[in-house]
Amino acid sequence: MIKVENLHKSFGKNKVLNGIDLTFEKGKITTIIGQSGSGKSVFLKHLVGLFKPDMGRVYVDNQDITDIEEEKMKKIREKFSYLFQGGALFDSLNILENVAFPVVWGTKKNPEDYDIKEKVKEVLARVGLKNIEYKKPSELSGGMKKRVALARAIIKEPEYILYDEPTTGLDPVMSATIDDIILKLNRDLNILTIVVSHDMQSVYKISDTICMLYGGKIVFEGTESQIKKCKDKHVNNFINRMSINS
Amino acid sequence: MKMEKINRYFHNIGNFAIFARKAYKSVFPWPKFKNIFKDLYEMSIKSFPIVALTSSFMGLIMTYQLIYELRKYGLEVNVGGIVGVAVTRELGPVFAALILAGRLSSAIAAEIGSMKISEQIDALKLMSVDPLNYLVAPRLIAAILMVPLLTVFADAIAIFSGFLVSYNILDMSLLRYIDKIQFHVVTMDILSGLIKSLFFSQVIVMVGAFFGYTTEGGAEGVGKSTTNAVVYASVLILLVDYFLTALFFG
Repeated sequence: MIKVENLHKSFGKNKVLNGIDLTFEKGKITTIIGQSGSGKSVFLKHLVGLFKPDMGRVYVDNQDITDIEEEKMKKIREKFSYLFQGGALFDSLNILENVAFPVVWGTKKNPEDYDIKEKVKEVLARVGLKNIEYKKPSELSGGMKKRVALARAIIKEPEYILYDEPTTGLDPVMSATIDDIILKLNRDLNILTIVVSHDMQSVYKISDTICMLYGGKIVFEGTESQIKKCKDKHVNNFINRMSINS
Repeated sequence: MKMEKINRYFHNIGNFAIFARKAYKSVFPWPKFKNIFKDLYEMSIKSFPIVALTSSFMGLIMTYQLIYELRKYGLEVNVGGIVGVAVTRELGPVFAALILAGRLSSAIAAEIGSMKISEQIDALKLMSVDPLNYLVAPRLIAAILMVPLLTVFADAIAIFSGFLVSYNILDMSLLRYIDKIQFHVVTMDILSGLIKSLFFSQVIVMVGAFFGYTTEGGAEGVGKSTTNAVVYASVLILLVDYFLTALFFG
């Protein structure tokens, strides 16, 4: 379980998060929606200790990680996988080395070992990719990079997966494929999943709970049917793709 | 506004000191040899041609200038000794370090800076990998081995270039040229140059890594970091050189 209490974060004079309280449970998919720059990615990074809050607490499995030492945080991060917005693949490594990285780093294993290579091929196949093991990230399209990053995120079978805009920049078919992967992983591994997204079609398909972030606060928390009935102007504008001037 | 600038300047110096401390601590556990070898290759084979080229021109030009001056006093026969002392004590290590600052500090700042803005450093942290151990420690180790070695090459090439000019203008034999070097150059000259190069090696890597690691604001930020890395590394090399020279010969 991940629990966030009264989370505040500012960058200079810009208040990004202004008192957020949320609880995420195992086996559930929670989606966080909100306009660009509303602080969704910033919020996500607080959950893995990449940002420290100005005020408030973050708990992972009832352990307070807010002021935790880096060495202890490393242990907690081993439970997480994180899909970055741009993929964050390592440019200097090929795809095989990139995907195998979480399982070979700190061990005597090598990406070229038979079992590692087979595992990499298997997770790449799950995201619809094959025969790209020896390519460099620079040789792939944006969508392919994102799928490789997803393969890297799932190779270690984590307890928690955080997705930062997993379908942005993908074609509709690939977006649907990624949605299916998110759902399947959540079902098969019974993990806690948090997705930050703009893609409402995808949000409706995968979410158990939808939260909307606006003005640094959670202005909505509920299910698909509840959000569709919500009277809040900002929520309505967002889900119905209405202009900010309307 | 001025006060704010001064504050920021001291703040950056403090941040650099903290970064350097963390970077040295990250050397243990020892980084993967594969990563160290990759950096050794980058710093040796790829840097050697430019260091060799600039050192040879430095030797050629300096010897021309020296012969021109020494001739006024009839002392041109000592040119080998003077070239030897100047190169081993000062010009070899400093010239090599400045060239390497231009090549390596900029490359390190650009690479780490690009990784920072594309969230690759965050990705490393999330995989429980210490980014400093992965990115900076191998370079610190490779530089401490390679920069002194490149300095020895730079010294040798500059001195040999000096001989070519001496032979061309003064018709000086190699034996006579070497004899003057042996007469004037003492162990301390060579040793002080090598010790300086050890310090310079750390400046080159640390400054590049610091500016890369603190990059903000997209491609423009990477450009700024790269420029800052070269400028600050060069200035710091000269500053360190001044203090070490005062220590050795003051």
